[in-house]
Order: sequence, then structure tokens, then C-alpha cells
Amino acid sequence: MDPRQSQHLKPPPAHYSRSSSQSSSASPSPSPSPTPRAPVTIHPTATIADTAIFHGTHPISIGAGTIVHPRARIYSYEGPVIIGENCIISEKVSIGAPPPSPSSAPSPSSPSDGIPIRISSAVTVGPSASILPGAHIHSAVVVEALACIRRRVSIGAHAKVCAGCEIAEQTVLKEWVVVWGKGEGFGQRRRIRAKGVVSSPTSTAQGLQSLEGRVVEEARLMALKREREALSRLVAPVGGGKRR
Amino acid sequence: MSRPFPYAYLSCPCADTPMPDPSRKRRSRESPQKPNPEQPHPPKVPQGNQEEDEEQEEDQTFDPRSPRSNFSLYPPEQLLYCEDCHQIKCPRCITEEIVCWYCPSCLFETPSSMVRSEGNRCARNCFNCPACTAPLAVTTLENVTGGGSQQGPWVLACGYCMWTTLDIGIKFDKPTNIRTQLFKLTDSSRGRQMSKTFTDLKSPLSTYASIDEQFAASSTESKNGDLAEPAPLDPEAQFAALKNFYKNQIAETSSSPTDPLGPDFGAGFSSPGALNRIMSLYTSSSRLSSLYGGTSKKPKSKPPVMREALTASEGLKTPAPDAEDTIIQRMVSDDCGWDGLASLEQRTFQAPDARFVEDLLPLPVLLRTKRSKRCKSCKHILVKPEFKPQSTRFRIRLIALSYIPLPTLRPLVPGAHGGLPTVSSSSLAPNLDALPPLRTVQLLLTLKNHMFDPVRVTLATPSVTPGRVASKVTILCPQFDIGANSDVWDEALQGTSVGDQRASSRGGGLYEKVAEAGKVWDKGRNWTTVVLEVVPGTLPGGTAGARRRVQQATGADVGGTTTRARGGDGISGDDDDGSDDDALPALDWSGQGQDPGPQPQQLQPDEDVLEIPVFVRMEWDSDNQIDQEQSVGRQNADTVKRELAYWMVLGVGKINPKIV
Amino acid sequence: MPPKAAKGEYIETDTGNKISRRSHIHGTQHIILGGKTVIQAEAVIRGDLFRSSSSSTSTSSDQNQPAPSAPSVAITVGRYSHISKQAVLRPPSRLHRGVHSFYPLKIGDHVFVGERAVVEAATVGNHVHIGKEAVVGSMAILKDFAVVLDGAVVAPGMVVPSWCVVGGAPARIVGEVGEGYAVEGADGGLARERYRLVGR
Repeated sequence: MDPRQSQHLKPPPAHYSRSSSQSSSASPSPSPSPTPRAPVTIHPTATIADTAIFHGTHPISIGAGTIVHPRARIYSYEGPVIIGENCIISEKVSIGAPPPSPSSAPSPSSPSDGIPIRISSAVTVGPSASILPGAHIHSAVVVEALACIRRRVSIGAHAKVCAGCEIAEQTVLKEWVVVWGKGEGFGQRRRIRAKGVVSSPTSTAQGLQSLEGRVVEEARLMALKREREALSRLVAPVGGGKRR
Repeated sequence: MSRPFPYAYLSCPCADTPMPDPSRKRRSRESPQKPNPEQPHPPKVPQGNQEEDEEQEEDQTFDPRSPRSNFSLYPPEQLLYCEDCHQIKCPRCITEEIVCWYCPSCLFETPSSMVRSEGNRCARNCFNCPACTAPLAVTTLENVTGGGSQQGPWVLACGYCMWTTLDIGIKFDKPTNIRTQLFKLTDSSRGRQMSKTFTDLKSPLSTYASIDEQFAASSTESKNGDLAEPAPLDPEAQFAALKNFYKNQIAETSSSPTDPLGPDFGAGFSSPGALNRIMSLYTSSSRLSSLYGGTSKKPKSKPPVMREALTASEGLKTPAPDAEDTIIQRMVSDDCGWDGLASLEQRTFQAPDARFVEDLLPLPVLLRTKRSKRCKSCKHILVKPEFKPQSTRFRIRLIALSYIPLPTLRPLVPGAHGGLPTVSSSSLAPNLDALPPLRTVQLLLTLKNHMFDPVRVTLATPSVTPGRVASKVTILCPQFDIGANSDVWDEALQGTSVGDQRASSRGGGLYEKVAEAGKVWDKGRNWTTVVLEVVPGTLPGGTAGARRRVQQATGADVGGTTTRARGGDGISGDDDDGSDDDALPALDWSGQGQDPGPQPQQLQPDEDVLEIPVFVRMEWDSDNQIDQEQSVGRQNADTVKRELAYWMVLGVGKINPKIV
Repeated sequence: MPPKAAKGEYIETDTGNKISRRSHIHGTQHIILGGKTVIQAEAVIRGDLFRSSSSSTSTSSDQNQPAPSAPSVAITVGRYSHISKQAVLRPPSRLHRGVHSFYPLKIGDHVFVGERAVVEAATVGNHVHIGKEAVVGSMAILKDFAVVLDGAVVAPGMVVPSWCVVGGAPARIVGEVGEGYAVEGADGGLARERYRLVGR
């Protein structure tokens, strides 16, 4: 809320990423503060709200054009977090597992590299959603509000996890799948979005050439791009004449 | 919607009163002409009241667990009140009349003349997703395909599951009149052709003799059409054809002209003559026909046999010989698979032969209605909303809460700053979702009067709740007065002050306040609070003797319950002490152990929910018209004594299975 | 909002709003609270997502002034409304004629927003109840006296008519509330009582 006038450059306000220097120098030096600040690498064109939290011991990297809303929490205690380009991470999203104990044990369990969270490009994560370690989210996926991606889940490109849905551990979702319905288990439904030309009896009777279902997705991604542009002006330190 | 604890439900008296019961009317009338056994001695102990009521219909304890109770218990705000019957009215005691139809999505009204022709669905652009039922939005694809000039193409897209009409290969040229466009698309060439055919064939060619001509006619028609073979009708046309065909069939085969055959099917088939005719079809053998009378006596009146639809124009649909195979092949093909099949829920709202997701059509939104409500017995209007769909006002709204005191229940937190209504952070407040058995809980029951007359209230409750889990209940002050409600403006102006006063009284001076028998806990302008003491019973499973559930079903046993309850009352003090000392053998409440046979030890569903039936009797002096807002002469001297009585159920909480 | 110095969790403003000190309110200058509104801890209110007045911001505007002088309103909340813990209020947005813009989120009086609910509606009428962990999608409209059950997902753009109860995912109309709904003190009419009890 308080405009940090001094920081015109992209990098997030000092309080969380002091360890990460201006652009991309992953310095794996968890400061000896009670909550270890993760080594964060942020692309200069990303927009990070000043109240987003980056905690953990493993590196966190955020790609170009990505928007991180306020109060998003990204934890890298169990492994690195890699967020690709042009993503939108909404408020109160929790990526990664919070520290096992609030007591400040830095890296209690860091076997080698841990399990990474990989979020590809153009992914949208809705408010209060949570993504647990080991998730691999491919490009153009939508994870809606309050959804929960459990450990070691792989979500194919252009898939959508609707609001409040929970993806059980180790699930592999194919691309273009929509998971909707209530919570997990029996209430949950899935369907596959049409991406090619569909020739249904009605359309053939119509006698018109159909559009590919893909154009809808293209339109959505276009809208997403516009949304990112709008957000990049609104999110983050107000008053700081934004960059680029 | 289940509610969080604590809650209060009211029981509509209609549940145990059959409709034409005069006693119900009598008891709800003015009380003077009615003997009142309780009047002379107001019961000190609430259950005494219970026992003395024997000759009234409330002599039986209301059992909130009885299967029938579900049908009479309502949250107070759902109940209405009939000023003519002087009785609470639940949704079962009323009839409804439709005031207007409107689309819940665009909130436009549909004139009643159009409702039927449009299939009770919105004729505008409102559709539901056939895949997930979320509303569809009309969106343009201009961003990708064309310039930003708001040109098409347009699609219907689901913002939830991302279904679009492109999934079924449909797009629209303009963003308006989508339903017409969609109809044209789906009802294209074939459907159009056939429906025209159908309308041409409206003449009732429905006897055997004419079939051949009919065949000829339809075949010539179809030769004229674009399609060589008469393609199957689309479902709507097929339904219309079938309906028309059978209507004619009924008209022609009905034996007597006096048969009250309506224009519709239903009337024709439901008439006794039609039934007789149908029966006679199957009872040509002598024995049965003699059973059914008439037919054997006048065999000449045997009605002409009704035949079935035989041609496509009559609505007959014969699937192609290989139809099944094509479907199966399509199912097993790679691009279909499980995900390509429409689910049962999806098919419910689709045409009968929609099998695949590509067959799913957007569903025009079903209309909703605004309804006025009448009392079933006196036809008095109880609720009349404004006609406009968007309006939330009512012209008439006689809700029960304007007449009966609104009950609210909350735990009494000793020494805390005010009783918090829900499970609070205060450690002192009992956790209503896990009440420790055999530990006394004190609850505050507030009754708030919305009438403009002061009310005298008598509460009564069985000392032990019915059911296997016997919880002991005592109302410390079963009889009290509630002040009159004053003007709405007074309330609005005093709203804060009342709250403050209440809060201060709760937070401040009441610190050491102890609930006393016979005294109200707190009192305000139009509300009174009394204390309930509840000792939750123990759940079966841990103890040896559990009472058989079946016993509560019959009335006699309910009486027995009460008797036993009194016994339980006697030893209850011991039980309390026992529980405090952790000496638990005293769990055998009121001699349940004598019940023979192995008892089901498992907890029945919701048996751990502690619900208290409370009988409420309210008496007040009223003007002849209750609605004083309308009556001009307030100084009207002839007041009438009125009374109203009903059961309510207080949901206190859930009993913890473990004894703490 | 000049806070009246108060102890405890809540700050009470001049108009009687009770704001938790642990609430997360962004862009306060774009938020209007009607008074006597409660905002509990960890509730996120995105006043910073307001509608930027300049429409020349489509694709390639390098610098754009958010124009903080023009107080465009992002969120209005009426009287006696209650925003529970961890709820998220976020103005809706959509792409219209190639321009992505945020629209104000209007919340009426006596509205209850349950814990962890996410509300991105365009309009929330008076006496609306939004259950806990419910999601109200972008540009949805909840008319007066609508009830969203716990965990329901109101699809984007959905309209919930007055007196209707919606539930499920995606939400459908599953019933109606009684005529006595929202009578003071009864179900739906507890907003004043709720307000009174907050922070004591």
C-alpha cells in the first residue's frame, strides 16, 4: 500500500528479496532471519506486488511478464519454484508447502534439489488456490479460485481446474481437460475441450465451415494478455510510474 | 439447508391435524369459549403442564426425531400466518398462484400467453451450458478472427467449463435473437421440411383405411422435398406429430360423444369412459368383464380399436438398421472414447437420441415464477408479491414472525462478555458441536415479540428429551410476559440503544448473575430471555442398556417415555453427582437396562443431535382485528383474548460420544 | 479512514466500520465502506484494481498514469456488511472492445461474506448471504436476498434472482428462502447482531 517510490525497477520491494539482486542473480544465501527469504530471480518485466511473500530455501524464479498479486505466498522449502512467463498468480495463492514448523528451522529437509514446482507460461492461478510441491503445470492452464493441486500432479496444457476442485496426489491431467464440479472424488467431473473443427450433425446440416475450437482459446489468451497489461499498471507499488 | 447450532425450528400444527379437523379450528379461535385446564394453576414444573394436557391433542410429546417431524418443522422465517384461521401456515397449508413468469438470468418477464409456446424457457439470449449447466454468455471472437468492430462471429461460451458452441460447430452471425438463430440452425433443412409436411398432414387420417393414402401422400411430399428419404423428424416435430396423431385417435375412438374428452390427452385418458374402454380392451374374457360390469351387457358398444402411429409423418420413428452399429463404432473410435459420451445428467435435458457430447445443444434457461400464496382452508391471501420480477416488495406478506415470538437460542457463557451466538473463541463457551454428556449446559432462550400487544408465554418441555439419548431439560422460568412491540420507527431509532443496553447488561452487571428458577434472565422492551438447563444424555454404544428406538414410534410409548422421564428426574441429581465424580455406573438412565434383547449399539444417524421439543402457548388480549396497523380505532375497548400454541424444536448441539 | 484509537483486534472508524488490524486492504482510496461494516482478519480487499479512466491503454502504452487524483471507486460496501476471515473481494474485469478494464464491485447492505469466500461479482445486493468457501465468479450479479450456499461456485456472469438459493458447482438455483427471510433477528437478519458482537 505504501508506495515505494524509490524502486522504479521491477524488483520487488526490499523486504522479501533483499538477497536477490536486481535482475537475475540467484544467490542461495538464506538470510539468518526467522523466515528464510528465498533466493528469488525475477525477470525485469514481471510485476510483483509488494505484499507477496517468497519464503524458503530453494530458488524461486519468475518469468517475464508474470503478475503476482498481493498476498500471494510462494514457499520453496521443499524445492525450487519455477514460474514461467506471462502467468497470473492471484491473491492469497499458496504455491509450495509452508514451512513444516513455524519455528525457523531453515531447510529441515532439503535432500538434493527437493521437488520442484514448475509452472509454465500463460498460467492463471485464481485467488486462494494452493499448489503443492511437485506440481508441474503446463502452459495456458487455468487453476481457479480455491482449487487445490496436490503433490506431484501434472496438468497438461490448456487444461482448467475449476473453482474449488481438488486434484489428488500424483494425478496426471491430459491437456485440454476441464475438471469441474464439486471438490474431489465423486462430485468431480471432467470433460475435454474441443480444440479442432467439430463436425457435429448440426453443423454439417448448417452447411457452414466451422471454426476451430482453438480460436476460443486464442481469444482467451488474448484476453489474458490484456488483463496482464492492465494488471501490470495496477498491481504493485502504486505511484511508481511503471517500467518496461 | 442444515443450520449451525444453535437453531430453533417451529412445528406447523398441520402435521398432526388432519385437514378437516374441527378441533384445530376451535383451539385456534378465541379462547374464552374454551376450557383451559392450565389456567388455574400455572405449572411450576414444566413437565407437570405436559401431563395435565391429556385431553388435548398436544398430550403427546413432540418427538423431533420422529420421521414425520421432518415434514412439520420449519425455520421460523419460512412460516406464514393466516389472520382468519389464527393459525401458523407452513408451505403445506397453502396454495400457490403464479403471479408472473420471468427468466432468472435476464430477469425479464414472460407474458403468460407466451410461456407455453416458448416451452417455459427464456426466448432471449439466455442459455445454460449443456455440459455443466452454468449460464452461457454471448461472446464474440472478434479478437482473433476479425477486427475490433463488434462484428461476429459470435458464440455462446460457458465461463465455467469453457464449453462453447464451437464444440458442436455452431456460431452465430449476430448477438441477438440467439434462440431463433439456434432453432434455425438445429431445425435446418430437414426439420423445416418435415414440420411443413406435418402441418400439411394435420387432417385426421387415422383409420386403417386411410393409411395407404397417407403413405402415398407423405412419400409424394418427401419427393418434393430436398431429401429423397423422409428423414427422421427432429424431436420437437416428432413430438408434435405424435401428439397430434394420438389426439385424433382418441377423438375418433372415444365411444360416447358425451365423453368429457378434453382437447388434451390427460383429460381423455383420465375420464372414466376412457378407463372403461381401456379396461375393456383387455377384459374380453367373460370373468373379468363381468367384474368390470357394463361391457358384457352391451357388447355392441365395443369401441373402435385405437391404433399406433405408423408413418413418419405421424411421428413414428424407425431407426436405421445400422443405427446401433454406427453408434457403437463411434463410441469405440479413438476420437470419442469415454469423454466423448454425454453423461446421463447431460442427456436428461437433451433430445432422446443425443448420445455424444457433440449432440448437446445449449439449453434455453427455464423460467421461474413469482407466486402469491393463499391459505388452503380459508383461501385468504397470505403472500402477494409485486408483479415485477425485479421487485422484492410485497403487497401482502403475513409472515408468522409478525405474530409469534421469534425464538433465538444461545449458550449462556458464565462470566463472559455477552453470550456469543455461535461457537466462539471464548474457551468458556461450550462447543456446541461436541457437548460433553452429563454436563449441565445453560442456554439462553430469547423470545422476541413482534406484535403490538403484550404476550404471556408458557413454555413446556418434557423433562427428558424423547429418543434413546435422554437429555434432561429444565426451563427455569416457564411462564413469563413479553412486552409489546412498538412502532417500527421506535425500533429503528432505539435499535442501537437497545443493543447497547442489552450489551451492557450482559457484559457488565451480569457477571455474577446466576440463573434462578422462576425468574426471567433478562427482559427488554419486546423480548424476554429465560434460561434453559440442559444435561445432555450419553450416547448409546458406551453403555450397556440402550433403549430400543422402535418404542418411540407409538404414542403409548411416548407416554411411557414421559413416565420414565419422571423417574429419571428423580435420580437425575445422583447422576449429576456421579458424573462429576467420574463414577459412571449411574449412566443407566431411568431404567433402560431393563429393556430386553440385544440393543443396536450403533448410533443412528443424527441421534447425537440434541434437540429439545418445547411447547409454546402464548396468550394475549387483542383487538378484534389483529392487524392494528390497519385498524383505525385503536381505542376499541372490546378486546378479545387470544391464544396460540405450537411446538418448537431447539437444536442445541451435538453430544460428544466420549464422556469427558 | 482515520482510525479511532482502539485496543484489540479491530479498528473502529468514525462511521462505525470495524476493520481488523490484520485485514489486507489494498487501495484504500478506491474503497467506500458504508459504515458499520466488519472486515475480519486476513480478508483481502482489492481496491487497487480500479477502472483506469484512460482508454488509450490498450496495447503499447508504455507509461500510463493510474491517475490517483481521480478517485475511481473499485469497491463499495454498504452498511452492516460482514467480510469474514480470509475472504477475497476483488473487482471484476473483462475485455470489452479490446480493452481490458476493471469494473466496480458493489456490495449492498447487510451482506455476509463467509470465510475464504472469493467474490468477484459486479453487484451483490442487500441482505445477500455468501457462504464460506463460496466462489462468486467475475461479473456475476447477486440480487437482493440471494443466498449462496457454502462451497458453491457461482459461474462468471451468472445472475442470481432475489430470494433464490444457489448451491453446487457450478451453482444452480436450488430453492428459495422464505418470505420471512431477513426479518430482523431471524435468519438473514442477523447483521446488526453480528456487528454488535464483533470485537468484544
